Amino acid sequence: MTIVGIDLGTTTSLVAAVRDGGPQVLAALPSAVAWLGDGTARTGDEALLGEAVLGVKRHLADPAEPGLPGPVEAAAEILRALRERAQAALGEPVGQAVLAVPAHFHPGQRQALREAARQAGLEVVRMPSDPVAAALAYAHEAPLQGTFAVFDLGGGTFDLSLLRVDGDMIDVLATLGDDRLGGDDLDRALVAALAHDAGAVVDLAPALVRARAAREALSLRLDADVDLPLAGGGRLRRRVTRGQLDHIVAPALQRCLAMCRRALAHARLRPAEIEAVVMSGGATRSPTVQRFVGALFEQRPRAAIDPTRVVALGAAAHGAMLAQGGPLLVNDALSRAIGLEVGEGVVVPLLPRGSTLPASAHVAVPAGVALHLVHGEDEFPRRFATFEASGEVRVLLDADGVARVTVGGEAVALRWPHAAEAGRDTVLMAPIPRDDA
Amino acid sequence: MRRVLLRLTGVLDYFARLGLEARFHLDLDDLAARHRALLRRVHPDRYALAPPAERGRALDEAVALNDALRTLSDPLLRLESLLALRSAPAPAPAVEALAGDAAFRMELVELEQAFDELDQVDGREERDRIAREVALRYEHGLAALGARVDAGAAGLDEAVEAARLRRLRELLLRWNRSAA
Repeated sequence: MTIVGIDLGTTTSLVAAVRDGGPQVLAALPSAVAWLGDGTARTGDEALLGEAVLGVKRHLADPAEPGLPGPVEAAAEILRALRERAQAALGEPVGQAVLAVPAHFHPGQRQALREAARQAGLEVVRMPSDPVAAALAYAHEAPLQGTFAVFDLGGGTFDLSLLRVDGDMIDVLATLGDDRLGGDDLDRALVAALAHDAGAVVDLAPALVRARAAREALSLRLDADVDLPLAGGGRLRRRVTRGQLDHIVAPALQRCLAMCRRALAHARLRPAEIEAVVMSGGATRSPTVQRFVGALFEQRPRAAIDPTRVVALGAAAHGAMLAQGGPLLVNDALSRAIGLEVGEGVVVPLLPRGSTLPASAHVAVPAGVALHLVHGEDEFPRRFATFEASGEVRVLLDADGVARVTVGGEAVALRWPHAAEAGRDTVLMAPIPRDDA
Repeated sequence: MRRVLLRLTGVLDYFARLGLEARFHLDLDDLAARHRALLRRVHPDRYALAPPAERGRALDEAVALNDALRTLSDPLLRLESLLALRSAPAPAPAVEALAGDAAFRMELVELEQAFDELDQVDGREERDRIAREVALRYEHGLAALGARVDAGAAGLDEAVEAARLRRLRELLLRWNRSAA
């Protein structure tokens, strides 16, 4: 049976599989869900016709409201639609999937994604991080060896990962990310610059759509016409050259590059020691972005595999590798430190950021105190799961970065904020903030 | 946010797990190579499609190997593992003995005060100098204690010295974070 590869994206979701020797995308759909009055759901383009729930991925681990379908249920609907389309394309049942996850996802978000897949009838055999999946897509074409960077600029997030392939293993050396920085910021910068020059106030939402179109046109041409609707009616028309665009988006891209430098410093690497830079995410198709990245790493970044599809293709390639037992074994690493909050505000560090997965830590816990698993560095750890136990507690993060807790070898039940305790037989629409629509 | 050092428990022989003699002075390349060779056999990717029980056993093995590598690659954690294996006094008496070491405690307080009183910008060079000095002392302390432990010593003195080194390391970590 084929193991499919899935990229559940913020805006678009894809399913892929290895066929005739190479990974191919089987289907793609907008990551949109609409709940109908009878409790059924519409997904993808059909959902967009009505009142759709968007941006599900960003809210996966948000607290669920009892009785309402939340982000996990919405994600499950998208995964179910992908599974059905994959079955139709392959002409066989699909029950197993490799699900790519953003490198910065914490264990709670990973657990929520696994739960959504379970609801969609999919067994998740592995959850590689997006950059690992992107690297595997390239590794499927030609053997990789050495140290790689994956520059992943999506609509709303940025991640830079450094990976090393040594013989039959691929290790994650460092990952840094910013979930408040993405391709959307480039569109915002372009709109702001044009509006400022003209002293005009634009109608922001449609203007951003036009700005993106112009940015994409500038991927192919040296100049493009931008036509922005103004707030009080009327239009702002300008011709923008690629040189002007470079100048306008430079500050946002400099923030990405600063993070790249920090990741290199973390891993004690010089740019010249990077074998190749793999591009992932729609925004990296832009020559402007490629030029900036190329200048930092002193080489031409690799975008031969469509950056909008490379993660899904790599997840499919990973599925094929798991079925064959190689050629590459993936060692992912924690992108955030994990700790245990014992009582209120007292945090015991368990596993530092960068720990190779799977990993575990033991801690002796007194009886009768509230226990929360937390993620994050330093002074601001955030809770992602709660449990009750006392004695010698063992916290284990599996190969996919999902947490489990045992005491004396017995599993301890974890409570996740996204899993409401009440039943969910009443199905109503649960609107999710459309901040990234 | 308040932080306490609840001691991570469980004496596990990470050295034996990787087939190594229990010593402070290790060849780190050899350590990494052994880890790799052993991990290859139980790697989660090779058991992703195995029956749950088999997958679980492989996962436990892989976790133990990764925990061993992470612990033994870190000189202080390696020392603490060694002391635990040699049944040096449990951490609690060592921490108590350290608490009785007024001179060391005073010195830590003075170091922290000196550091904090310096301006983030103007006092940067002086701050770096203090941090470098503490870092050097930590490194030298590790090497010296490591040599003593490798020569067979594992008593209360060694446990107290390890506790001192841990305090120095926490201080350095805090300074590093405030610089970032």
